[in-house]
Amino acid sequence: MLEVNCEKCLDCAGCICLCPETALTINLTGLHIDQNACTLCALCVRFCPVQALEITEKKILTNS
Amino acid sequence: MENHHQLIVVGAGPAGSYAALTAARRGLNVLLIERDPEVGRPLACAEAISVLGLSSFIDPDPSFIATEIYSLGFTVASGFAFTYRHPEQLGYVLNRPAFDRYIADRAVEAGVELVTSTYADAIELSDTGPARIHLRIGDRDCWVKADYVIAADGVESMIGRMAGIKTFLPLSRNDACLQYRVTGIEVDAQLLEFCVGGKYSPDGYLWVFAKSDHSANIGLGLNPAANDSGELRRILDRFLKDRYGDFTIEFESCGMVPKFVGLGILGRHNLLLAGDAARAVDSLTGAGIAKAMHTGSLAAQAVAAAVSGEFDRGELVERYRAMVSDEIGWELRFLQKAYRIFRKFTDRDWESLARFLEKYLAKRKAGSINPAQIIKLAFIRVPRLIRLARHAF
Repeated sequence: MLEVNCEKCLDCAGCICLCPETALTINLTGLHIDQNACTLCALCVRFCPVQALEITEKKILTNS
Repeated sequence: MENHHQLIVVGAGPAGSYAALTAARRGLNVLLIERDPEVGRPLACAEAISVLGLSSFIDPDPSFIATEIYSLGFTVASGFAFTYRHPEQLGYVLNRPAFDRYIADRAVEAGVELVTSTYADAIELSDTGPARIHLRIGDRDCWVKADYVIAADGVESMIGRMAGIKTFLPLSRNDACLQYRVTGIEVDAQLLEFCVGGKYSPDGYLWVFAKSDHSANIGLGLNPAANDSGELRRILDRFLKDRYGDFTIEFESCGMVPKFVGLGILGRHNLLLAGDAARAVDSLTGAGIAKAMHTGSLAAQAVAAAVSGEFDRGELVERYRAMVSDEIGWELRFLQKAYRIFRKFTDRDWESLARFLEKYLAKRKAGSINPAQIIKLAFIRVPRLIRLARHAF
């Protein structure tokens, strides 16, 4: 799962332009992640200049 | 706030405020919306602009100028360094929060309605009718209509994305940047300094832009496709410790410098993008303030021309694209290609180029710097440029 550390994030919004799935959005309360849209491609993690984004565990895909 | 406007501009940075100002001066009814509680929140920007870049749009005013720049300094990998002092002023380092407020104030004086703490979270475009924008203002929300929309909402370009314009960037088409505002140091307040190659900026560039004689914006940009962005902090910290020893970091900021990606994402129907949202930046240096005001101005002129019936609404985006292409298209494309060449530079290439520049500039007198001649001579003195250029152009 992709998580944002709000204490590190400086709201620069650079990660948003990189997301091929539009899983990241920013609004008045900060950066938000749509976990269903996120494919864990990690482009945003590689970009983040302050290491505020992290993939914490594998996403569990259920096929029920 | 009325619920129908001729033009809604999203984002009160230099692109948005300048677009709103230009449109209001041409008699349009303009609503300018800003996400933050006030215009000019401290932001991620190195704040430098050339004399021409500023004065083409706004008369310099002491309220928003931090320092006046006369010298350029280059340090390359091997430690070779030189400083060139121009007889005339080259540029400014701005105080961006004050600068952004200054332009927004001029827009309001010209009749623009500015609303802050207002976030546009949805947009609906139609082929023929007005656009609808959903606004969140604190706890309230509402739909407003606009005949035309200019989105100057920054690098993330959420409005463009929501309108179906493919504004996303590949990892290789941007630089990840980290910058500190450093105080308690001694700097030359008339100097813009760049370091390329070597241990402080391998595969990137480091800048020291003086904000006064004891403070500066010191930052580093790296391409995140080829580098670990965690290096940004490690390298900057090492540079500061080695160069200054004792210093205070007042605050830090980070951001993305997008690279120019062509003129294909300038708008759709009655929506135009300007500034960083349109990726209208100098890909080589990351400079974007003048290009933001320029594209903002052109977008507003295109809208004003459409309102006055000079052409059909359906032609708006094409007309805007033609205006941008005529005025800055060549420059944006050239700088993008130059960036691609410099990305392939080795430390030795940087040193050859720097040594050539030092000699060239030392011989010049006031006002006789000719960029075309510099480029021509650089190709002769740094032969590898020719080989690299063949791949880029």
